[in-house]
Amino acid sequence: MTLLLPPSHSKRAVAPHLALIAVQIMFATWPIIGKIALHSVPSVALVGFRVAGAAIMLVGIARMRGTLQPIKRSDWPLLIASSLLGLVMNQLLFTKGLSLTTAINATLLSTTIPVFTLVVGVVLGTDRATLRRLVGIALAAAGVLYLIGPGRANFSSTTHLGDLLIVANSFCYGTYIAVSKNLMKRYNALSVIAWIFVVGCVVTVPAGAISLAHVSIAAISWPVWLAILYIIVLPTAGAYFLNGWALARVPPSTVAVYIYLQPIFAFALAPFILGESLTYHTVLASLLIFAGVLVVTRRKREPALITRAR
Amino acid sequence: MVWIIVITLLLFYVLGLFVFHATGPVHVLPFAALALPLVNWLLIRRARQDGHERS
Repeated sequence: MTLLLPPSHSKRAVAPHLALIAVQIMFATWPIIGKIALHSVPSVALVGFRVAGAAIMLVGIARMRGTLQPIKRSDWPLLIASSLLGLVMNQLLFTKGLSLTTAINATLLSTTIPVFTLVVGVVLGTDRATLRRLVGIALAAAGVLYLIGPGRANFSSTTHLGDLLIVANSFCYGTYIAVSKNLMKRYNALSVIAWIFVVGCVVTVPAGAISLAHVSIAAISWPVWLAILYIIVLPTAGAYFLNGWALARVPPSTVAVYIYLQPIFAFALAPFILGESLTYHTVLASLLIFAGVLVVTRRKREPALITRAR
Repeated sequence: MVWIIVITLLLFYVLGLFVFHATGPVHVLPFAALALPLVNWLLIRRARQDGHERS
């Protein structure tokens, strides 16, 4: 784990990077576990369960710890924008886009997220487009492209709308990472994420309730409820909170580049449950992605240390 | 922070057993999860030693 991390030995410097690895492991398990939940629950309803469940959990934890900060009126537009971009649009565009295109197209197009984050971060002045970051993002993106294989993508008129929705989703999530940085710096991450989910409930819960109209709740089995509970606790509340917590401590482009680890973790974890196998192709792609993340996250060596090393 | 990764992998294992009824390789997961803190501790210790040698 620490091989990925900056050379600083303090736990404080290492923690955001470990948190971001945990976030990507959590996000990677979501499609695997989500598969079983989506057999019984419509996708929009699952989004509703995720957002409502996570909002209750995060507000509950923040209140119990006494750390739920009120958001100033002047920051509400930014909070609403973060909720719409990072939660509502992100979830709905991805779900709808995936239903209109292939999983391969969706994964390939999602490689644009760190690029959008960097561009928006530079425009807003929260990030810098250094050569190191550009090379790291390019390396990690090359790893994902090699893993998925652009030759397997099928960009045609039938997938056109779905592809556009996935690009829109990538733009929304990439922009969310860049714009929510200011909120994370002003308030504690738990409060910001809790309020983002509360705002997200306004759209996703009614939409989910409507889509549940033709589903018998009583017919949903306990393993499916267990899967939904897991999705709420880890790949939703846990992942968004840790992502926000790390975002308050490292640049947005660093948070975004960790997204490239997600397909690697998904490919690594799927064999344990779904019985799929790992290939040399996956291992080679993993090395490229890890190299890219390492280039972006590694700090320049302290001048004093360089002098001493000489 | 490593403990969060350990908990994630252990919960993933529990779901694999009870929801997916997975067998075989799934039993490697708890051992892999529990090995992580040890690997992390060893890597941090080595990094600290390298730091001391440099200074």
